Amino acid sequence: MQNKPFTKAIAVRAVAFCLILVLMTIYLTRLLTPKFVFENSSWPSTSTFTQFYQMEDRTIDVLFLGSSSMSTACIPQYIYDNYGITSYNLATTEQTLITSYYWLKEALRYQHPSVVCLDNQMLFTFYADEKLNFKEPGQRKDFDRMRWSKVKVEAVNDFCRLDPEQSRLSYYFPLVRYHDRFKELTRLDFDYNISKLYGFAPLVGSLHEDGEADFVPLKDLQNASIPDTEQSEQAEILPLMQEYMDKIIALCRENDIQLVLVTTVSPMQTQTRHDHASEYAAANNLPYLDFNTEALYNRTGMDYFTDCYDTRHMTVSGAEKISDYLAEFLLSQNMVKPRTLSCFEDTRQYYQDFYQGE
Amino acid sequence: MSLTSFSFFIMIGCTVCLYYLFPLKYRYLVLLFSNLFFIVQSDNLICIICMLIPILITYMAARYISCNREHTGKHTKAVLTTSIVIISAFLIILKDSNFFINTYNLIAGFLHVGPRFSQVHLSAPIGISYYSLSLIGYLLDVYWNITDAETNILKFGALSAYFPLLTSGPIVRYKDYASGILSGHRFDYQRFCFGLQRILWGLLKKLIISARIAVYVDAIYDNHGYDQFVGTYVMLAMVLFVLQLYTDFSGCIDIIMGISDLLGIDLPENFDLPFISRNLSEFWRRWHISIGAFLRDYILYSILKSAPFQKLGKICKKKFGKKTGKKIPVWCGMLISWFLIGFWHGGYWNYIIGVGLFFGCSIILGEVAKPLTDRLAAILKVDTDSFGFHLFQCIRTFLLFTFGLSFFRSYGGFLSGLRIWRSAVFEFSPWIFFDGSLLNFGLDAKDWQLIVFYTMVLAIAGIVRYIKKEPIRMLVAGQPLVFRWILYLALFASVLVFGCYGPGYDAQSFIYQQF
Repeated sequence: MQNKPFTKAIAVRAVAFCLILVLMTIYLTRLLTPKFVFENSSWPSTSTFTQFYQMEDRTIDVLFLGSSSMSTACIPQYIYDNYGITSYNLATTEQTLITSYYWLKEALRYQHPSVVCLDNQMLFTFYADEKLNFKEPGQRKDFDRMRWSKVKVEAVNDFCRLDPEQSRLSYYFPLVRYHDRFKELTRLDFDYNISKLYGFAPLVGSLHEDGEADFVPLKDLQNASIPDTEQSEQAEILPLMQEYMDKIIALCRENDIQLVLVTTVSPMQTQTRHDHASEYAAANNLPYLDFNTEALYNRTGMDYFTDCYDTRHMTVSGAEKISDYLAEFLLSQNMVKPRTLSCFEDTRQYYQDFYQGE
Repeated sequence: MSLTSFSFFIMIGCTVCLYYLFPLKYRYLVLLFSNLFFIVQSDNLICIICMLIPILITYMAARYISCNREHTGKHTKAVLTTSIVIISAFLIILKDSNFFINTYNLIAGFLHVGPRFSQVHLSAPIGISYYSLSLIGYLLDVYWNITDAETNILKFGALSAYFPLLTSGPIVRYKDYASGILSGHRFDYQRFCFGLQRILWGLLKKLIISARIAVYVDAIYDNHGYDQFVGTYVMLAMVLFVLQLYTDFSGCIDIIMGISDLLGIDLPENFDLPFISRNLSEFWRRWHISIGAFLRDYILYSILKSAPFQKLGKICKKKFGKKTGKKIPVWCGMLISWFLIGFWHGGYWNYIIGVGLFFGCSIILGEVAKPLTDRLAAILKVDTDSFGFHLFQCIRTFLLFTFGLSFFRSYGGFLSGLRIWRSAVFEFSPWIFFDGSLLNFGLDAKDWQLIVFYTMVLAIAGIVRYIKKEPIRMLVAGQPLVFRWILYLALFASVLVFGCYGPGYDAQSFIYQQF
């Protein structure tokens, strides 16, 4: 074989080829990474995070974080339309406090909210067999869309440190994790639209193609009853979850943010859990709103059968009741002030249309 | 360290960069360092020591033989013999102790005498089967004055433990490849690209075809699946295992050759279109070429030249006539060589029979029956030069290989091998190809489609190479730029998307990495 001299032209060609190779890999990664949008999922986290990054910097005053209960309970557009508060719902399904912590850190790179309302149900056992209180697929769903920065690197290191079974490489090269999805590609992988609900996840399962549970309001279910809440008694605060809750508190204090702990209507909530959470909130001097308490349940006019889809998720009417209460609470405590924001003005009709459609 | 792991490719990247940054004269030091790194990553301390001892002994023995060759013949022979015995002892004790324990227990059980021993679990250094044979070959070459002994111990370390060879060979003869490995190479752009292409081709074989086929083959062969799924299921598994082994082993060799190409190092080819072979002898000259060549050059010829075999030849010539009598010692030598090939794979009878004696006996039977088959062809007026007859011969060779290999794959031993054969002919059930039965083994329709498609790609590449008598990459290099780039990108994307790797896949090591 003759030794071919490495000329300038060859160097240019080699660089061009490598560039195409990298672009192709990026395209394949984007194509094969799962998309969770309103059309194919009850939990459209892709929409949630994509729209978040599209928001103008420093325009959000209230940030909602937490699990699916929170993502179905707070409607930013409704809160803006009725109270003039700009908010964003970054809660996603199965989002534990570790993920919430890193999403808060990430959000602070772009926004400076006055208040963070955090769903505290993940302080307690959610998946007893999982090291991190969540399942890896759910966690990836909540996390993969985060932009690359020091925050994401730190989060990846943390996930892999706490759960060594996770593949660090798959975070940096998501194709390692998702390349097998070529078997399930649909139109939505090539062409999808994100909803503009500021992270709110309305559960209208019958529209979805992903086989997830259909969400039928309890009133429409025969023999529906309020579950025996004490069955789900795993009342101790998990040390790992407390560690990250402490970190969230510290981060909020560092950034002069008022943290409000929230428990939405849920049969997972027991008296013991309520007591532990109350003690924790009091110890840290934090407001704690538990919508399962008789006082708040009655004051919001909540009706378990009309305002819940299943054991812990809100219908739109239930979400409006919680949104109303939260907005009034924040205004009454002078934690936020109403203001006008063009993007919310632009999406007023979008929400109305969406609401009518739903 | 797995050859398909990310860390391995990072290591390769670092090795290549350092190799070309070092002065030409000292580039072997980079190889030495990479060898050490690879060994430390792959083995525990005891294994590393077990690897270093034979290498050091070989280095010193070769030096001694080289220096004293002409003066003290008896001493050099003693040094040579002792060294070979030590190297072989490491190989046999670490890899094949259980063969002797099992055989002893079997005989003792049969005769109802003596105690029984339980199996031992010793871990052998990575690549012990490959470097041990190469070291023995090197010592013999030095003794026979075919090559000079290496004087620089660092160079000898870089050479004898050259890390790509530790994974799956090929078994190299130092006289042919030492200078190629040790002399520094200047960066050759085209060769570098060829290396990358070859690595990609190897990954395609392993990750897309072999890893998928393994799912089905394992389901049939492991846990006595062949007792539950009989007939065509087993027959298909037998055929697919040949394809799995080929794509796995040759894929691994492609990666090894590709890495060497990146460094500008020549290595001998280990495969040469084996499935176009018209008989088993030819097949084994095209499949795992280096093991066949080693045993032919160092063992078979030595056996045939030995005094007992010369004597046997004379006796046979007297008893069976000149023509047949001449062949009998050769056949005996072949049987010993084939036994050793089987034994080299591991001390289990399924190896000794599956890739050893079965083929030895088949080749000898073929030679014995040749006059008969020639006469039969003449009576039936078969045109032995026709394409149809060649195809028949290729298929016959493939099927014979398939039957031998099914024994090899039956890890349960001799009886399991027989049960697989029995199970394969138990029932003819062609409907399994049409009624979705094959989708119950962990592979869905898309997986099967990928297996078929990429096997066809492999076959087409083989046919083109056979017709053009030139490596595919050379042919592709002569094509227009756009065509080439599209081809390379398609290859890369195929591996990236369709390859079996990452979480959720049980990363299987290369089959020949265990030998």
